[in-house]
Amino acid sequence: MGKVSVYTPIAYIVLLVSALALFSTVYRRRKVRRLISLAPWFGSHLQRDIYITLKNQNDPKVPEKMLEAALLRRAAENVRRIMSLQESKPSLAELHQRGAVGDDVWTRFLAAEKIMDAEVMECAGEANAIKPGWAQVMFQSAAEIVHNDKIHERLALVSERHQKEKERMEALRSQAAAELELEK
Amino acid sequence: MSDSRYSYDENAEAWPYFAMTLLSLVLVPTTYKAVSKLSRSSDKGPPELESQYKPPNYEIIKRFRKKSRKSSLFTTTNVLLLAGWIIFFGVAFFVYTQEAPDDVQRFDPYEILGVTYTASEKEIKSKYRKLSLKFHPDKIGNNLGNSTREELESQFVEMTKAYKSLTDEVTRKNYLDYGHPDGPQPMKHGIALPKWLVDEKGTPMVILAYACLVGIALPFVVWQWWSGTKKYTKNGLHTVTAANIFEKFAKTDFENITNDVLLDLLSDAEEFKILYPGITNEEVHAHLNTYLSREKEQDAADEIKKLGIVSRSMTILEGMLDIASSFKNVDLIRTILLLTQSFAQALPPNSHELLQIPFLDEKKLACLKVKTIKELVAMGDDEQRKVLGIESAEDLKALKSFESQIPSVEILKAFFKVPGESTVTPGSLAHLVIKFRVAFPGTKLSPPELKDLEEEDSPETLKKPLSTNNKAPALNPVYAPFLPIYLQPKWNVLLINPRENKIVEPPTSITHVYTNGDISTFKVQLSAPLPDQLGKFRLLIELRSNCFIGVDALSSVYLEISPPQTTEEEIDDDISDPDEDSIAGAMAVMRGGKTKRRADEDEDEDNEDENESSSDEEDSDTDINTDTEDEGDS
Repeated sequence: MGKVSVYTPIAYIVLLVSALALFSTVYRRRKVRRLISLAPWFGSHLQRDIYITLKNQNDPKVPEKMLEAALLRRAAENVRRIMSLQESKPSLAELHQRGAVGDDVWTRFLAAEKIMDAEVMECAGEANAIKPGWAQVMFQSAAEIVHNDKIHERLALVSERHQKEKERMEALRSQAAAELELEK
Repeated sequence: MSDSRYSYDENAEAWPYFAMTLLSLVLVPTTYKAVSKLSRSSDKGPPELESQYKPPNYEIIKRFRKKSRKSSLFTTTNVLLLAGWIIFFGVAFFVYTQEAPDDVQRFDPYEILGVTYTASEKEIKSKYRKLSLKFHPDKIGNNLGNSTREELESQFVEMTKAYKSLTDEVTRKNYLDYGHPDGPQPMKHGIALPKWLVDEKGTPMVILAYACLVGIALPFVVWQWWSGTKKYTKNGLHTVTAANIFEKFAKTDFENITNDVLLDLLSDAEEFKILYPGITNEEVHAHLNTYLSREKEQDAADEIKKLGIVSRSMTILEGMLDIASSFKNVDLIRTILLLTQSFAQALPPNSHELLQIPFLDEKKLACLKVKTIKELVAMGDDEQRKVLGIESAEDLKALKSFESQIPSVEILKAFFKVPGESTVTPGSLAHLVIKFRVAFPGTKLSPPELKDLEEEDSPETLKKPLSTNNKAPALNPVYAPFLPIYLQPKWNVLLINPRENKIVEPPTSITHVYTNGDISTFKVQLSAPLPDQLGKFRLLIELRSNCFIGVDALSSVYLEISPPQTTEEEIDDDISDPDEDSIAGAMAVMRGGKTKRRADEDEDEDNEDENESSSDEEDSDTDINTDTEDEGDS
């Protein structure tokens, strides 16, 4: 056997460790970059932005009532988002388990859930700062607001659909009348 | 110990075999896979129908089909396979041309002495004596040449050795243990590697190759495979597409998901952007609209692009259906299924079923008396000719050939069944049995026989109830004139709970069907056990075709949950055993349910109420059974 220099194993280990370290940093950096590049599940939170702007406005100071209303609106939006998350979670979990959707959606969805949790906590904190113990009541009212909005939306839809159906039936009737004319 | 020695394959005796074995280990399974894939794709298509009806852009569609078939033949895998086989045969040729090396004669004392393996010692001795008389160097005359003399002498030495190994104790032991009468022989181990590979000069090269393989090639392949599996979902949808579809469905009210929304979603698919880099959503949407209105693109290249988009759309729609089914909403699923039908026939969504028929357009449809395909087919040749304005006999033939593949499906009976039970019992795992019949124009249909509509348990169905689903022959691919790919026809089975407007089970598909007028059976396994609550529930079944408009079948099915049939029914009434409280209460409910024939919703709600009240009261009062019965009657 030829002589093996002492440096051979050392070089080997250095090479191995540096390669692994390189891989790990590159991998982690890419992962973080990918996570940052993922679009948030929900768009911008307008109600929250309004509330924060109002709260930070000092000249002139925003009346308490207005601030409360803004917070209530913010809570309502939170409730809406949480409901939408809860509704689609079982479907997404099933699809993800089956491999019918990719990991990205799942990651985004879980992130959205976490963000909403934090947002709700923050919202409750704000409410309790305005009036201790109000948070509980506020979310209940917010849920009612959401329901009410939904009903209003449906009602609006009815008149719209009514108009459409009316037009359709008119068209049908005139067509039928024309056909009858022809047959005569 | 024996003196063993390793030697490398200097004369290239063994390593070609080794290389061939390795190669064939990879090549044979891969080739098998490739060939089976190729044969599957090549027999896809009914050429006899294709020649009949030709849409205006037939030539381009044909070109597109040819191209896609060619591209499936010259894939990278196939090219690599070919290269692998060439190397394999090269090595085989090399082996063939090599001279076989002289094998060292194995020492076999029996053969040398010319005795059978079962010969006794006596026989061996006499044989040896006979041979030594003949071959002993002293006995051989001098009349033989020198060379032969030496040969004979060595032969005689061998004989003596052989004789000794069979008679002498020590030599015999040596022969048995080491295969040679003189004891252990130097052993030679060959390693099937060519000598140049292990030479001093080859070492750096080998190390380099090894490093490339383990350090670069292997991680690269694994990484490619992994990112490839992550890029596409199990349905073959791009993950971006799947994510977009899911997000849209999750965030939109199902009522607002119309065909336009679905078409927008489809145009947004990532697949098209990969297929045709730089294409915009609007362009894809425009192509889809052109296709659905059966129009032609101005440019031939655009037309090919359109066909590519359309053939990909069918897969995406299928994936869309899969994602939609997880939301369980019936309207959404129905919209997607109907859109799939319009895609197959190249018609705008919600088109009239008669518009599928060649030579028939909106104008002719308005004047037409008949409103279904069945009625049109029943009109007879001459009448059809007149109505559709067909002049040549060729066109009529084309029309008939198209009509001949439009099936009609009829659900004869549908019921729930629990394997091994005569009734559907609470909490059991039931399956839905659909007895249906598929007919094509011209099939003679006789009234179904009652015994064909029953489902008898057999040992096989008790074990695997769904094993009968693929008993009938598979359906042939369908020729949809405008669609550039051949469609494997199927019916998607939806089991719907009409009260919640939700599907009970994800859609399953019927692909095996008797087409000669016999009754086919399809079963859908319910994934959840039935509720414990007794009663009769109405559910809906829909069989939706994936390739023709207006050949769906709808039917309602009743799920009647009744108690298991026992002989102890009467005892239950009299004895108020606390353990059987719940059963007694349930029995009362069943009777109450039977006496009423009202709308299902009311019935079910009433049942629930009664159930609660009866079980509450029964703890204290034993006469409660009769009480609830009275309530039910009133």
